[in-house]
Amino acid sequence: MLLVHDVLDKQLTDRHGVRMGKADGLVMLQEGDGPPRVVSIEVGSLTLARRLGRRLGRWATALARRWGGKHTESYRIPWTLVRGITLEIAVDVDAEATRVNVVEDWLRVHVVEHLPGGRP
Amino acid sequence: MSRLIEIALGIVTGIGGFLEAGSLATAAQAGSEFRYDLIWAVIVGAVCLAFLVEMSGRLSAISKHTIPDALRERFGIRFFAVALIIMELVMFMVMATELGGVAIALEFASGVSYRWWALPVGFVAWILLWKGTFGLIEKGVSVLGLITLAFVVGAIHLHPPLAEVARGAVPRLPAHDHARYWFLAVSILGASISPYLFAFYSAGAVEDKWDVSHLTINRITAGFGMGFGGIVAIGALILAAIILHPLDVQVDSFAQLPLLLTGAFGRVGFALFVCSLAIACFGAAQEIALTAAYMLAQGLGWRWSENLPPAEDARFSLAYTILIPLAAVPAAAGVDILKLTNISMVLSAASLPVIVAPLLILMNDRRYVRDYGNGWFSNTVVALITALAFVLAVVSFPLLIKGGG
Amino acid sequence: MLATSPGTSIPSADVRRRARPVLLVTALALAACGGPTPEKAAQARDRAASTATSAGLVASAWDSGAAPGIYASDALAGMAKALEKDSAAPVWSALPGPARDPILRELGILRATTTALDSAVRRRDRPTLDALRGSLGDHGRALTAVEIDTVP
Repeated sequence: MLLVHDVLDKQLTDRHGVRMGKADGLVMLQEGDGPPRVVSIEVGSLTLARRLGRRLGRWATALARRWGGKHTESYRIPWTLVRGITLEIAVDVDAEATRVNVVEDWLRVHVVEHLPGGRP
Repeated sequence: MSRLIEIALGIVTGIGGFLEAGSLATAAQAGSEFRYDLIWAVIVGAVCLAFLVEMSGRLSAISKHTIPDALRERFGIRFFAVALIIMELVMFMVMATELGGVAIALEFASGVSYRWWALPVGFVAWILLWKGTFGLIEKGVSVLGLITLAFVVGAIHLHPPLAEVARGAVPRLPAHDHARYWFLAVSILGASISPYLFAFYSAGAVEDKWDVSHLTINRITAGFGMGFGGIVAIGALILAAIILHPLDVQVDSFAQLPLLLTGAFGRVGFALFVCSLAIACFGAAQEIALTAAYMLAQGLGWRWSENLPPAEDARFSLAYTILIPLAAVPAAAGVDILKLTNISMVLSAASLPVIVAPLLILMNDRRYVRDYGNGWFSNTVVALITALAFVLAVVSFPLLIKGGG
Repeated sequence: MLATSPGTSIPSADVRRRARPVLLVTALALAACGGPTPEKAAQARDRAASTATSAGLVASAWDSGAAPGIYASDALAGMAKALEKDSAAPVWSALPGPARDPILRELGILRATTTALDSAVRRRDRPTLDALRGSLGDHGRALTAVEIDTVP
């Protein structure tokens, strides 16, 4: 398996088959002399910004520190929860229970529900 | 029976969704300045569009992934970021044009300047997206868009010289004003092969939950729909060639365009023109607003669907909520809509490679299209279109400068 | 601004390399736009004549009942404005006096006639409209008849 080709940027689906973002980054761990090992998949725009450029990453980090509250870092899905990789990466988590949608929820509560017809 | 309805709807989608400010204005300019000589450009545009739309639908029906999804997943975030920025810029320009087109139609009907209409039109477009569903917008736009067939009826009504029209279907070198001729050819191609349409159509296939069983209807929609749609643009071109060309009138403002249909139908023609322009541009503006939001949401992994209430996909809904009023600004500020149209169409043409070249790879990637990949014929066609797209991208800017005046 | 940190400074060679396409496009644009030339003046003359003809078409569409007054008046006002803009265009400076003067004179008449057509439509004054349309046609032809020597 090619990590960059088969994992990075792929669609993630949770255990109910619900889309939960893309694999924005990978966390690798190097122990001793062995080859580095993938520990987790990162989901979050901060990771994405860092991959696009050092400067963009720094801006995004500063922005997140300023406005992001307590959830500044990207969400990590442990590699052990990966169940299968096809076009999509199936992971054994419940998207609703994670904080991948923290921005989504914040915008719903603070913006969308204040607009006419925004409350379902 | 429902299959038949679906097929009918598919064809309607193609016809109704084809004409918008760009294809109407560029076709009328071509007819008024070069008579039938640029009909070939409309035909080439419609054929390319049909092939690419069919592939976009097939890609999404089989893989359940949209084009923006695939651009990110297959080519990585860096390529996607470039494609996203280019596409969003072009879509912004085209959306500004379309909102301006609706505003101008309302000016013709009311006498109140288009500048005052731009923001209200944007607001109505937003409300419909905010409250409506994908099916409502897609079908509404298509069915109402059938009114643009008035251009075809009008053209037939005036008995165009068929032999000359047929000769126009063959590309040739212009007798005069080379730069202008090629500028219009590129504008027409940019207006017909709108890059946003592929992303819109592929998102539509996912919104409508297409699967393998929809491949036939996909082919029919693409082939007939886009083919007939091209005929509407040819109708406008022929009308301009018959009514305006003999008087040496060049189209340089939208105010001249109602003459195309008043010449053929009198007062009814005026109403048909205003409705055609308003509906076609309004529909296009909505499709573009949606596509701009789809592109962001799909590529960045947000939740998205026009069928969800906005609270369920806040980022997606807010994306078009922010974009629509921004796109209404140029018209509200009094920018010349016809100039904006020409520039947007050329930029559209210039942005084509970003989406067409990846399609060539995706349509041969078995992970996406499994056994339904392109055959040698489709591959040859799409390779030719890709080559054409690169040529267009290279020549468009010099032509915009030399022939855009 | 002083670039001190290595992360923010960009070597000047890099700037030059990045600026090259921009410069090239700018140069092309300048070469293409250039100043006023007789060719451009001839194009502008034909465009102005086309605007005047369009005004005549709009007026007759209103006269025959094909176009509503709201649109006709709006379109005529717009066309008068376009003709006014044409008379003030810098492109005419490329022409010698004997060509420039009649063009500017005809443009002035065409603009005034178009404005008069607009008010005739507003007043629903058909006889005046007829006369004005005739005059518009005559002066439009007079405009295109002005010879412009495009070979220097």
